[in-house]
Amino acid sequence: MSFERVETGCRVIDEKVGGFRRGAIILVLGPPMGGKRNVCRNFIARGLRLGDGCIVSCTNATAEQEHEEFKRILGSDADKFLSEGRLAYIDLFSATIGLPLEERQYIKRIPSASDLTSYNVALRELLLLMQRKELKMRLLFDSVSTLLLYNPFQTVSRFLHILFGKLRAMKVTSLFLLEEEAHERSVVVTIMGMCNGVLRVKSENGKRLIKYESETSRMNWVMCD
Amino acid sequence: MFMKLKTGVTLLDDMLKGGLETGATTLITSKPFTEAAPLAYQIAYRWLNTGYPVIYLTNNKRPDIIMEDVKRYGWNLVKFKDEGMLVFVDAYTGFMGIRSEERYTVLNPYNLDEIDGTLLKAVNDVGKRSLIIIDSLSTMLDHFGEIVVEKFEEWRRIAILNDSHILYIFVEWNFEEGIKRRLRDRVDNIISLSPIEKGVILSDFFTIEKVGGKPIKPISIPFRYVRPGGMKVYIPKILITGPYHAGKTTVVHALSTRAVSVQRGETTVALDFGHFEHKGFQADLFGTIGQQRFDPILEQLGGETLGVILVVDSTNPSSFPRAIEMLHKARVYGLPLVVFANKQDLPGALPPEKIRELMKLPKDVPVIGTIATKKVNIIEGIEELLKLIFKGVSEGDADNS
Repeated sequence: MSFERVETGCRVIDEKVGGFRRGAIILVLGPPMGGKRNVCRNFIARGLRLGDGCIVSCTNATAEQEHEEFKRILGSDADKFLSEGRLAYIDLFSATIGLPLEERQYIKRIPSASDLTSYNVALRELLLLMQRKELKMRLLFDSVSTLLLYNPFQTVSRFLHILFGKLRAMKVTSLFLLEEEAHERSVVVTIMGMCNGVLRVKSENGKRLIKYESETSRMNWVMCD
Repeated sequence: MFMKLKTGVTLLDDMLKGGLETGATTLITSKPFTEAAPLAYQIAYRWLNTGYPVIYLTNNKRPDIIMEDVKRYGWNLVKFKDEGMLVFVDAYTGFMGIRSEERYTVLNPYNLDEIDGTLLKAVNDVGKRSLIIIDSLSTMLDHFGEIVVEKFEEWRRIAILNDSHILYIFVEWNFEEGIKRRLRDRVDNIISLSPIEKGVILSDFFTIEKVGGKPIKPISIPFRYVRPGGMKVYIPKILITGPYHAGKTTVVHALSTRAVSVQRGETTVALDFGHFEHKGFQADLFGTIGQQRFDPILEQLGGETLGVILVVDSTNPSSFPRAIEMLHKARVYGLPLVVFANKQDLPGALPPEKIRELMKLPKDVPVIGTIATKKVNIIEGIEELLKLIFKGVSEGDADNS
């Protein structure tokens, strides 16, 4: 059985394992400053260039701060993608730092990192908008570690279980970031078990290295452009 | 001594036999992709406006964020908070290590006894006939486990002694069935909120599963949250069908707050679309095309329909068989149906009862004489249809009385 593949924005993954499977849930692990956010943002940027609908969920930055990062990669196109609803943000951070929760059509703000139902409802609305435009979809969740900071592990695993089911059903190719070293081994293993693939990113002597394992493909540490 | 207060959602109040009673408890249980909080806000606002206090316990967002969120639905709570009619029990900011501005603050939200004690203090201070909202029970269960269920009897006593009502917000993450069952057993009313899914989630509906401690035959009512406005009963689709030249387009336009038709000359050649709002009800109206060559579209349009208006030309009995045929083609036969015997102002128009006879319509199908061009009986007609669609509501009551 062959799966539909999606380009990842990282040439070496596309060449070696043919990209990610469409609708796969991939856990992105790696030490701080290892460059995993860059890999993730390239994945979203590539999707936008290819015409996909992309949803970025941020727990450590406001939607505006995150959008600046995409402007750095995509230039003024980032604004265009946002205004036409191909790029959307779910901001779980603004409330945490006490900013007003001003909403725009493609920027949703969640009352707190503990209000996971509100996250689901915002996501549902964005997925519906993108599905109506018949877009293929990508999602970035940065990061699961913040959720674990504010919620018991059981809450987070229940949330992810239900969320992953929805994303798979709608074939949303998704990256979930986790600060591996901040959590107990059992936590990481449990979340890993719920995903379809694990992407590891680290930095050595100024070079970025990645490793990818999934149910169907495997790639050992290689240098990434 | 106990009294009933309305929720502010008419149909919900009917199903709850008048509203929420003091001295009792209600569980609002929702699926993970459907929100329960806006309904709780709506009930809280209504409660405050009636002149009674509200105690809002939050363990998943800051009180000021709740105030802001409520405002988006068009309800301003500031006045009530300033007057002390609305108090928050803040069991959230403690998690974040931030100092709370609230008078009732749980310093250590990891301690259930402290939550309990702070809540009790607020209840004693605020006084009787208050609405106590627990937002959310699911978060509490995550932190403390099953022991929360044991607290239910105690809290219920508080509700009775203080002549108050407790409203629990519960999101059905994958909790153990045993816990869910015990929660359900221990409350007086259950309102459940679920999505209508077709791959994506299209809409939501609410179901009353239990009233006054007794399970009732569940009936599902579609709704939407509207900002501003809150929970609105919402009917995904009403089909307006009938033979060629019966007046369907005129009916759609007469009922709609906004409408679009694709016409060539006087004849609709694609479809009529309208949106209808009346007494808190909302519906999308789809008018079909009368000409036979468009029949294949009929079946497409019939999907997801909740109710049908069949428009016939009262002066043209030869078109009646075609009218019945169209119901079959749209695969909506058997759905709630109202017949508009239109063009009653024209000479030779048959009276509604004669049309019922000629069309061999069952007794429970209302046949209403209308003049669409003058909007005569149009609203009355759709009210009849809404009654049929929501008929199950009163039946549910009858089964248990």
